[in-house]
Amino acid sequence: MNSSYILLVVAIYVALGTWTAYMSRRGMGAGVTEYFLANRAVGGFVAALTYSATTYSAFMMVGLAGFTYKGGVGALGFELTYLSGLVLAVFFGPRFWLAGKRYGYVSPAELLGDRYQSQWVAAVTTLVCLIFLIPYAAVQLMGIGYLLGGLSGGALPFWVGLILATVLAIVWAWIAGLRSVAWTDSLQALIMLVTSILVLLFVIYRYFGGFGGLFVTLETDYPQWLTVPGPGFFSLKAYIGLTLPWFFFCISNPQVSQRLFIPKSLGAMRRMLGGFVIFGFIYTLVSVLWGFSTKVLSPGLARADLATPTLLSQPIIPAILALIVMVGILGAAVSTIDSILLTLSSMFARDLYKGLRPRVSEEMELRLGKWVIPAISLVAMIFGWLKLGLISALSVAASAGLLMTVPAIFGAFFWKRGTAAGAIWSMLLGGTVTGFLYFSGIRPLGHWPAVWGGLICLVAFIVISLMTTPPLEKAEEFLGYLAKGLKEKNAL
Amino acid sequence: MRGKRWGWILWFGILLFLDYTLPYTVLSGVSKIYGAFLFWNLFALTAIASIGILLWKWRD
Repeated sequence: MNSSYILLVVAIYVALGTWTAYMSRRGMGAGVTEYFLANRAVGGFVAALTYSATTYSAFMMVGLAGFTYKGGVGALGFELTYLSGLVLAVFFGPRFWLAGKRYGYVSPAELLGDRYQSQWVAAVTTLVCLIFLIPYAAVQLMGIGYLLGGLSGGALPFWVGLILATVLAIVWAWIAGLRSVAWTDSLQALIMLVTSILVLLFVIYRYFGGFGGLFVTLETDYPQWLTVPGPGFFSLKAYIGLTLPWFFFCISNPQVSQRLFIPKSLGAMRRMLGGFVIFGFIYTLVSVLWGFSTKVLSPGLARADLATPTLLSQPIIPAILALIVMVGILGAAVSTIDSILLTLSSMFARDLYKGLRPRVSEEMELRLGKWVIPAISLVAMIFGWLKLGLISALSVAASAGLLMTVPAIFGAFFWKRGTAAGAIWSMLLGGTVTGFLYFSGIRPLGHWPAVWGGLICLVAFIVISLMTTPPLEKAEEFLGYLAKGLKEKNAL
Repeated sequence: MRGKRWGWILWFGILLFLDYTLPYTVLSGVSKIYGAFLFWNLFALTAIASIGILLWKWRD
């Protein structure tokens, strides 16, 4: 495709997004809570869209479609297992929200630090998130690099997409913090959903005569793709290894769990979570059907994560439709990256810097948080430039690392006996084992790094907590307050 | 409240057990759209409906 068309459409998207970001500044107050949480006053509709856009990244139309292309229907089970994990947000959402309002928490790390009465818990949580979320942000940047490169037939080099996505994420996060992120996310969520549905319907009806035609073709020509383990990629061990970290995604990923602080009421949180599961179900189906369509229309690709860019660059897809999908995927990536940047910057400023220097002013904390945004972006961009391995596998490795925060999060809300030492060592040991297994490629007994890392993390949290002294007074006060609040709100 | 909580945990535990077992056993030989594809859609819709019921009960 002519690269000037691509650049024109990207320019329109950039202008629209930047205008939306600037408009979101109206009525904006001052302070850290305003900048990082939009003053905990986000309505249900915008909250649902920003939650969706933050959760769903370029991984869906690029990585998940690639998984489907390579491994078949197991990709559907994998992503829907993640979606069912949203039941955790039903349990944890009201707890985060109530605790955030009472104690003024800005980040999930701050919550853990206060609950376990140790600034080191907050600092270690932040470090784990920084280490594992930077690769996650990097794969989004890589997705854009591949996409623009594939669509333009190589006329736009990989680095053009990489730099474009980085700059957009920085600017849209910088302008008004969570306000600009939430509003641009909302715009992008709508673009993602509408464009992907439109183009899928076009492909299905134009080339298969309807969904029935696609299904019959799959049953006839690719029957293995409709079963697991099917072509082999989704063995049961691979399925467990992939789904385990993703099931806990909504509480392990701070850019998502931080959104549990932002609804203006529990009713707004209900609309946020309810809206998200509907969005997620549709978007998952669209991405998987896109992967199946790609398999039928363009079989024999060497790399699964190039399936979407390759299909879009084929003459069978009208240029305008390819451009529309491109904007949808670009939006999916940027909306995830800027949310990650904002969350990590809030954690860096509040849980690392302020944790070590408690007397620092709120103004200084905010200023530092803003400057951390471009700094983290540059690190992610360099990581993306290195092009390490299959895009989907990298993304999953990040989730596996963040899984190591889960026992400490469960303990904070459900186990009075949990201690700071248990939380810290569980994250360090689990994170180290996961990282080592991932980078060495070793899989004991054939199980994936998340399984072993998660097991060691859980055992370490329980054993070390039992060997050390818990902050019982804080635990009683914290859990007592939540129990009362949950009863009033009729939440489980 | 605690009894209800455990009831829902058990219910989601059953759903997840089916999620990991049925497609790899009973449905592993069914290379049709009404096999694992349909199952995982029904699994997700059941989970979403259950989440919806829990959200509906919240008081604002």
